[in-house]
Amino acid sequence: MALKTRKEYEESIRKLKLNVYANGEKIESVVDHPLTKPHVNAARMTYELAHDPAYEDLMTVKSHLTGKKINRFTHIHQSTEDLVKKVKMLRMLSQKTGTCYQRCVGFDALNAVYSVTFEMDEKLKTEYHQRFLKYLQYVQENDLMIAGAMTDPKGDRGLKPSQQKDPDLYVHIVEENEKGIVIRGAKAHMTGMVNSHEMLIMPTTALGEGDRDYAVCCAIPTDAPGVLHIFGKQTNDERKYGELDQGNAKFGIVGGEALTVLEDVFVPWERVFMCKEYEWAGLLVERFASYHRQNYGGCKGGVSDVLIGATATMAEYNGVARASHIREKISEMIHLTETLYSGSIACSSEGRPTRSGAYFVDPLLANVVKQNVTRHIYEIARLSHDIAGGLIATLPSEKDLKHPELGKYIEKYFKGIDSVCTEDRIRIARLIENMTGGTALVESMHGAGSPQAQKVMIARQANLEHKKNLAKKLAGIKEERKEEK
Amino acid sequence: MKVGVKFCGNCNPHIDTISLYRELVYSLPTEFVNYEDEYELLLVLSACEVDCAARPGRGHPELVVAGSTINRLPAGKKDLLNELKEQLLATFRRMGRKGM
Repeated sequence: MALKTRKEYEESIRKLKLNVYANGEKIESVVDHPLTKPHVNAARMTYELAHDPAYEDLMTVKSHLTGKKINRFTHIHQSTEDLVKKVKMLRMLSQKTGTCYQRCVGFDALNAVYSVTFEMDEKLKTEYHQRFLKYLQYVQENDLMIAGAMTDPKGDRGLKPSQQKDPDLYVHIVEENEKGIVIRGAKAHMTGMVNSHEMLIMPTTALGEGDRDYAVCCAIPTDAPGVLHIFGKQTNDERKYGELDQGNAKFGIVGGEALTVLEDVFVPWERVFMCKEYEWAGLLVERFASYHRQNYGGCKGGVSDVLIGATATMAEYNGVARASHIREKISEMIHLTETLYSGSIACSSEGRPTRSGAYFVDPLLANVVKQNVTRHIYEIARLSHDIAGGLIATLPSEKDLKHPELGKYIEKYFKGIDSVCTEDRIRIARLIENMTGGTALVESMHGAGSPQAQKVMIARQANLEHKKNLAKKLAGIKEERKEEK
Repeated sequence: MKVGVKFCGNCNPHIDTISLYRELVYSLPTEFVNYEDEYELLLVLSACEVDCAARPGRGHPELVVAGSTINRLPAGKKDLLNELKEQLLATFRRMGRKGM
């Protein structure tokens, strides 16, 4: 079974004995519960479109391990073409869902762990990469959805993991024995975790010698003993119990994040890919972060395609589509969207092979992509709000629209142009509201790392001395002289 | 005559290759098959002119729709279907096939 169908994916998630809670209650089936179902639907598209001839060129690829056709989300990039097609796949999937389908995080984790374990084995004579190859083949052959699990709760951000008052604020090894290791802690903001098959745990930051126990990379089933998931509360998520008010009823808002608690979870050695080699944590974080930041011009580009379409439609429904300032603003939204996309294509095209043969993006350009997303998505949303009008924030509810006495007033007073029914105008307004408010915007700011994390990487990757020397040469400064007093 | 069909992934479509393909199948008696099956001519349907669809690499002759072009010549969105049909028939003839 190299390519699961969407039904096989759903059934495989149903079979897991997941320990998921939301609103103080246990969720018996994430596939069917109103809070989690939209996110399952979005992830499901990564399986469904792999079987569609119109999309399979992006969705599938030949495994370099087995030669079999696999879902691209389980692939290790073998060329810059693979990196570019990843971005295109993400844009296309976002166009279909208007939201996050969650599977890129695990995809990036697989690629980061692949190249780093290869280099660890070469330097340290360990066997992590060989173990990882077996795990990767298992993932590919079963078309598994992996949650990339990097972000720790972090506690006091001014302190290293081992300096925290509570040692569990970063995931750490509490026991090591003949059979494997036992880990404790938690991972925060875990996108797609509650509807993934497995999680791939990685350190969240560069580590020092004192943080040795925190240098851990390993794979765990999402329903392993000791694992507890507390599903995050999103903006307006009580609307998930209705339809029209959601805006994007089928696929919801962003990834459906959770806090995943690891309460003394046992991991057998064959699933351990880093155990106390603290010097390698920083490299793994950088690789993962760069791969993940590469994505955002693809996925947010696709989401913005939908938002541009919604905004232009709203302008038509409002009867202002021909106004020059509206057209200028729509053009600006397109320009910003393609700027995001350009960065993702650029950092992919400038990719390079690692020692393992797996291809890695240009990290400077990948960080620039994500930095742009923290700004441009807000501007795209602002322009959408500007054009759509205030009703996206003041509309009455679906219940009122359907109410036998109130409905006629809503139909009458929220009418736009004559040829479009009021409900359709409300639907587009709700979609814009869904895609531009609360949780959706915050994800653009902090997903794949907060803006300052990118600034640090950008400063580190750029050769500032080279730039200074360029300027000095043109200014005619041959050798710097200290001013004599 | 069997024609293998390969789509690009439709990430930023300038034309609707899915509708184009449906109309083509409806209007020609040619047998169209998946690119992984056996065929004599490969029809590539790329939704923009970047034409990034991966080729199966089996050395068959190709007819490439990429955005509003056919084999890199402008065709125009309105006439794309008719021009594609003509080009397919011309290709069949060049390959020594009278029928479809």
